[in-house]
Amino acid sequence: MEWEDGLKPLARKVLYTCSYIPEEIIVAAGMSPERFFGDPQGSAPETPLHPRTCGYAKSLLAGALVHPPPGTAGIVVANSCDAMRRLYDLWQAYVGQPAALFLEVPKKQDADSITFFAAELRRLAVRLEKDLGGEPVTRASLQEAVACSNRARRLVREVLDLQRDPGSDVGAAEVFELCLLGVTAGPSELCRKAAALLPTLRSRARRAARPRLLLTGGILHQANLLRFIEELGAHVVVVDTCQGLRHYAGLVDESQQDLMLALARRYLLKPACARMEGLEAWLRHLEELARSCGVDGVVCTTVKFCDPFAYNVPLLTERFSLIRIPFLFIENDYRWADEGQIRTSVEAFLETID
Amino acid sequence: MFKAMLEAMEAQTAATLSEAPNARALWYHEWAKLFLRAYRPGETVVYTSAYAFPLEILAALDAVPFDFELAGAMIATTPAGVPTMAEAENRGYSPEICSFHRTALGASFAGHFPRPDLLLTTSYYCDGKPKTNEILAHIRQKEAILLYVPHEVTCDSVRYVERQLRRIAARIAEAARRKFDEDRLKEALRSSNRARLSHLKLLELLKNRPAPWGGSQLISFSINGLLFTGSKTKEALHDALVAELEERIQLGNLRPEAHRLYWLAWLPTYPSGIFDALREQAVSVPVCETFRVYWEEMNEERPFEALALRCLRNPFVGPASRRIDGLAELIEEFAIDGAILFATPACRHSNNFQRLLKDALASFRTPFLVLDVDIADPRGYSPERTRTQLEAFIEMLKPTSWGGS
Ligand code: SF4
Ligand code: SF4
Repeated sequence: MEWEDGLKPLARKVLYTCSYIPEEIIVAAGMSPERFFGDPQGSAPETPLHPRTCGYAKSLLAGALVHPPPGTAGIVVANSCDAMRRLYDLWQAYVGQPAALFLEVPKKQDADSITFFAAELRRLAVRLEKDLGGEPVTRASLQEAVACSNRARRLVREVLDLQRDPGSDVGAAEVFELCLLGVTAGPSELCRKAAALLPTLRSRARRAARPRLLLTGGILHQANLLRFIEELGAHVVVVDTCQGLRHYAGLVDESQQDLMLALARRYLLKPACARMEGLEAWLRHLEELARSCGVDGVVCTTVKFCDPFAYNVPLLTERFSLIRIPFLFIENDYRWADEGQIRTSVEAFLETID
Repeated sequence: MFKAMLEAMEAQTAATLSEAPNARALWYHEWAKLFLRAYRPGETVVYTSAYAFPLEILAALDAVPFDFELAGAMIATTPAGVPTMAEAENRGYSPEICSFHRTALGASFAGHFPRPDLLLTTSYYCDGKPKTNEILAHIRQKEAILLYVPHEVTCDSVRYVERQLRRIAARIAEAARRKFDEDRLKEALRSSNRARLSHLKLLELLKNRPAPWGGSQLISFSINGLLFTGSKTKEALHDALVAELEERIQLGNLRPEAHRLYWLAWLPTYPSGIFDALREQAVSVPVCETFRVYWEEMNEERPFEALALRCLRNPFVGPASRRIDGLAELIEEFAIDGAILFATPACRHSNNFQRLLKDALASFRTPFLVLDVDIADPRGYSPERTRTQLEAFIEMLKPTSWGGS
């Protein structure tokens, strides 16, 4: 079956909250995965979440309470962080429908954790069927879903390589829009779009070199930051965020007999976000990424009250200072209400690079 | 500075113990002695989280559990607390991260803490704990180990935690340069099981009206008393407390009591005046969330599995409803008139439980107060505002027939 031809009728939507949740299992259950961004721009009412909680979690609950997403069979909430595990509790208590499923995701990457995570994924597959009315996840349906997501990842990697290419005129904002499409419309739609886009991107004229930046951080649900960095004359060569590089890096080993294990391995071993154990490895990875992309500066943006990132940022700042790569930390409120101020700090930062 | 503080505490409590022995002096004395051991050459020092990691494993290996959060909290009881936190803030650690961790990080940057051999923590209670553990490991250039405890109790999760515990035990044994002896672990579990029985006895005694003990001492002991888990010291502390409470009840040597409160979460480390204000109004706190016994007797013959189960059943792991389970019965048994949730601003997992707790308590018709007070950072704290809040809350409590001052 040619997934990118849209032959598979992906019926009911299943929302999910973290890029550690394998979309393949949702697709294999005959459902359509959609990363839920909640109600980022809406006038979020008071939610049962505490005000000093990350804006993403608050936005999800506000989104569910104000405009319950139509056509949704359910939501999968991962044990990403303290905010998310409480979001699940509050969803159960105050939202109810669409029903929420909880997925445990270890913060460790060792063999025991991978085995345990694979068992959790098998439970998720069963619950998608039993609790959300999905189809039984079979070896064949999973194989097909894994192949589709891998194809999407390969295509996105090609696009990301073009973006990274020195002198490239492939802008980060447009690439990131494509990445966002992949997480909202699903891998099949992404394949179609990326395959159509690639020839035009390849044939783009080259342009004069601009300051090269690495953008890293947590969740980014829109391309605004990238857009105004571009307007200010810099080029973001890599976007290492939940919906950017980290979502698409690393393939699932399709040749494995146990595909749940293969999924568990890919998801736990993909480039880690700050929630994972391994501070040294995380710092090293970002340093290597910055060096290999030959960037002139690094911008890190995280949502206020996001502890997983907040604890890591001082050492990241120190690391880039040690290797003399200019570093800018931007805290956002997820709604990007203070965009004007952020723009000013980016502007000031780019002047130091120039 | 911290070592000198411990030495003073050890000397002072030793003097008290020789003149007029009492459970509190014994507790503080053992606490100082334990942390001072961490400064002694030749000891295996493991930074850990006493209220989360099963310390029987360390006890079985004679390793010193140095709890960086409790050590930071000790510093935060003194005027050195804020300058210590500032050491971390000046290095970029945001005031939005828990002040417990800012103090521990600051103390480490300032070189107050002993050298660790290993740094060991758990994925619960909060995200900040494993983060701080890793940063401390980075500062000390030592290995950080995480015990990941999943949300749900399933066969897979029990096996997963058990396997991690076995590996961790082997790793500590390696650091301690000794062979891991499972019989010693079984003995530590036996000790814990005995301490559990005396713990239950203490809870029975605390049901007495007026309460023979409680308030800040109880809450503090419920947390840092866990440093002695799996050791004879823990049993001795419980026995001393049981004897004292029994004597108080027998002699009728008890404070008048108008109301009884249930306390949830932690307490401020710096002088806050909260418990003075409660005492003045004859309000007691005979039981707190962290002193509840949520675990069954452990099977000493399967020690790793038993410890895994205890970790997995911790009320701060899993759904927040676990913190509410059994609350109606507790309110009844302890004749509770109201509940206070201590809410330090950065404690995301606990603060996001407020609404659920509020609704549950409303269904039991139990008055409820959220005290928004920082755990270790006194900057911005207003004793007057807190006192006014407490007084207004006490006004709301139903009158009891137990008399008062
Ligand atoms: S942004 Fe941070 S705090 Fe918010 S859901 Fe993601 S990891 Fe959790
Ligand atoms: S008070 Fe909360 S955030 Fe702070 S260390 Fe304790 S559990 Fe973590």
